[in-house]
Amino acid sequence: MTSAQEVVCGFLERISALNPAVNAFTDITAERALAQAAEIDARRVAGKAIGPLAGVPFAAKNLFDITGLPTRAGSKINRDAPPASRDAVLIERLTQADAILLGGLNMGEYAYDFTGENAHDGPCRNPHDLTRMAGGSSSGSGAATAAGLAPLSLGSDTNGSIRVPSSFCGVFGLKPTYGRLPRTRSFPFCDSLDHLGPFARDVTDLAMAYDLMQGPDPHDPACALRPIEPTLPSLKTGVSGLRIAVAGGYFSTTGMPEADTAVAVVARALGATQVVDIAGADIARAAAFLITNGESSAFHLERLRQRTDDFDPETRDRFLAGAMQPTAWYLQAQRARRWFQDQMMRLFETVDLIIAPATPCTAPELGQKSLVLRGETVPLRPNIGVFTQPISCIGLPVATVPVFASELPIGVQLIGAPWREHLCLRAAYALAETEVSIAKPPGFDHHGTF
Amino acid sequence: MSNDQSAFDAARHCDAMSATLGLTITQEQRPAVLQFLAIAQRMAETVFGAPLDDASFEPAPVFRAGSHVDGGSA
Repeated sequence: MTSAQEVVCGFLERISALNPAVNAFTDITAERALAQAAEIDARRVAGKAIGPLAGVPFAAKNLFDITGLPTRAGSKINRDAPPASRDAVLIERLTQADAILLGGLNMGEYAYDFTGENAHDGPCRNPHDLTRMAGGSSSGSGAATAAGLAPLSLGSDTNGSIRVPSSFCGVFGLKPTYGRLPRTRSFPFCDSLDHLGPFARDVTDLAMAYDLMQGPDPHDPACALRPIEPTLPSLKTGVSGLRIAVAGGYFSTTGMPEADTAVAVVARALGATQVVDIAGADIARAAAFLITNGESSAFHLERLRQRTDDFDPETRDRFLAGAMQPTAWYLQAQRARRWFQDQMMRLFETVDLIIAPATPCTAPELGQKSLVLRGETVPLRPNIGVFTQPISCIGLPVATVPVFASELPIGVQLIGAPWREHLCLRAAYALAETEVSIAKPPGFDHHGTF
Repeated sequence: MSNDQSAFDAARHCDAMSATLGLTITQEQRPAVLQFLAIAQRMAETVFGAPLDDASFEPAPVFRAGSHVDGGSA
């Protein structure tokens, strides 16, 4: 049997070899990982109990508190903060299951990003093509998982920051229902919309990690007081009997060949023939934009006053604009959010799962500034999340599954009603089992070179 | 309620609000800030198009009186 120490050493060697090119890790907690592995091995040899994730390495977006490190949240400014005195609660829960933290992961500054580019730490690169974006803001989570630098990682999603890197990097990602997983001791972006969740190359790993992280924590006021609702028991029960539809209208993939193929392949595999119009998705997207822009900028106002020049220019100007947003816009956005939720809850009386693209395209080139969307050239950054923003606006659970419609992957969202993560994961498992959706290893694992 | 784009002057809004908030917007930053203000204004126009009822209200963000737990640096 392979020891936990051997597993950790193997991953640390792989990180040492590949991370300089991928730039997924910003901190490597080797000493901690090796000490924990030795302790787990000793327990196992002594015949004592070991956890369900014993020896499984994982890594976390660097907005999660990691004991002994300042929680940089992709920024330069936060590096001046004192080191965290305790791990984020989700890291604690995985550690209690004997998973082993390997380090902190690159991300877009203060999570206000869809690209994975970062002025302070350098861009996180897509393992499937190092000239392309990993997607953001959980760029390191997507890239480290895809590159096999960690079989499991943690990220956050406010407008698409788990689903976009899952799509561009070709891995499975779960954005649970808003309020499901506690955010205690993670650096916030926008309280009204922030979610945390896992990434993995295997759906069972994803479900197991998610199950082990469930349960409320009193410090997060948005965390629902729900019991743990494990998804593993029903994971392999298939999709028979589920009412699955494809999102039309706003989510149409016309003129987006890779997204169109991916949605069609997934729909066929899941037997989805019905197309549903999601009325009001444009309003929900606008609401998410305004809530994010206003809340996050108010949160950073003092830093914007005192240390403007220390921000990444790509996030700074959006924060500055958001700080000046009229209150009426913000409050109308919150009311519109409730309205859209009511619309969607009516729709969920007739369907169990909705299929939608995760991104309009595969990973763009690093540095790319614009995107052709349905024939129109639009700014890239605000538009990568066009299909993810309306969904997180009302906190619906989503499993993002990878499809290789071309050389590069693209993700498809499997969207459920609130608290029905188990249905999203069941469908994801069915797609993985039939090899419709596979998190392929990157090319350098085939060729042995970059 | 309308939020007519023609009535919105991003530059004047920026000048007034940046002074009110104590924000310094440099000439280098200003074009992008104005662009993002214009995008936000268009988004506001969209949300003001939602057919809301006066009786509707938004309970989130939720405030629960009396609950406070110190969970650390979050």
